[in-house]
Amino acid sequence: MALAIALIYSKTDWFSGARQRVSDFTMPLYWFTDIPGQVGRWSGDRFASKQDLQEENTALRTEVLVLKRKLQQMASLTAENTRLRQLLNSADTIEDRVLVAELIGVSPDPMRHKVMINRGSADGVYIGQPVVDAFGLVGQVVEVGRHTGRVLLITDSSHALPVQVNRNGIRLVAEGQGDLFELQLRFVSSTTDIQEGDLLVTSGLGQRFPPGYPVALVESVSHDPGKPFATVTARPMAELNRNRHVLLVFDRHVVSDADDSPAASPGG
Amino acid sequence: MTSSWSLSVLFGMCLLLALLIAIYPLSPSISVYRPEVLCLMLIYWVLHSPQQFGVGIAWFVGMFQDVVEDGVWGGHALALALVAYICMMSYQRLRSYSIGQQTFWIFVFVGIHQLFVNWIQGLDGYGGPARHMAVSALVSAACWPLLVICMRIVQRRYRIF
Repeated sequence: MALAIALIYSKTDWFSGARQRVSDFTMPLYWFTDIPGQVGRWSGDRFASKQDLQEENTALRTEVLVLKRKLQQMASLTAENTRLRQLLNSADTIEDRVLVAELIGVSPDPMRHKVMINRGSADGVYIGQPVVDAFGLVGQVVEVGRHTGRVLLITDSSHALPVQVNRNGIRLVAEGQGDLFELQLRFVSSTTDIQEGDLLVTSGLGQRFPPGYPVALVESVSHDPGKPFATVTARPMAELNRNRHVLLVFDRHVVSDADDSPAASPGG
Repeated sequence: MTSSWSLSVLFGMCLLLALLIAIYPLSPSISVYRPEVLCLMLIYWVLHSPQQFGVGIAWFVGMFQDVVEDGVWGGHALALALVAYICMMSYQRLRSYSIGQQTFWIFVFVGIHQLFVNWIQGLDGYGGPARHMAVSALVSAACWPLLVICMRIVQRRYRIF
């Protein structure tokens, strides 16, 4: 009987509805196991020494200054980009709206790269929603409960996403390997211009992830004459094993813009 | 009657604790060394009172673990039911063994458990390398004497036998 259930589970999607529903009941357990970590962080906040706080404050001030300088350039660049896009008659890329979520649990199975977050359908989270952190793309939402959600990381062995080499715009597919520090690029022909240190960004082709978010850095490129494709591995930019807070990106409008832009642009 | 009831309560609390240990958030590199506490707990109780805890309960416990862990449903259910069956077949012999001998057998049992769980997970494309199974079985077996001692202390303390 267990075997039958296992087969039905893995080969069909009959259980998918039940799976969504039980996540509301199982999540309190994950909340519970997160309590020691929360107590640890709380006491860390409470009992930090004055000197540490002052040092942290100085570091943050410096960082804010650096980021503000970047933002100044960003404003003019965005304006220029919008003007150029208007010249080209293409849809404006609107800034994405984000929601901060906190991690409350990780999948107990080391092969399964999923994390639980404290936002659910009550906060407007939807299935397929992209998740990023301060450094790059983290993954996408695959299950939504009322107040919790489950995020599939880009390094999970069942995950693949369309990416682009930032330097020259070559489109590729990055596949998770079940290793938190490795992505593999599929079907890279030996003549492709790709080298170590290239930045891979989301291309937005799958209509799932918004374009332009950093995904990974190319770590090694090896050409084996016996194989039809080069073996290229990349290291994810996002700190998948240590981030505490992630950002949920709301980008529905990007898809809808792309859908109705041909009709809208001649009129506008 | 009361004794049997309090035994069930203790059993339930132990399982809940084991389940919490099983899902306690750890980074994947450490998570490989996580002992299969739920499997150990179930073996302990089947050896302790095989009249009350058998294959059926093992199946439900395993199913619950699958649902909570978001694994392939039925994987742990199958593995735990199988291990419980072997334990029920051989509890008379296993009980008379010393802790050291028991530990060796626990290694074999957890190994079987891991083998089946891994096979079922493999149906969904999440099968881990054999090294992980071996490490997990070793760590679990090493935890067995500790578990037996803890359970004996708890049972003496609350006079539940």
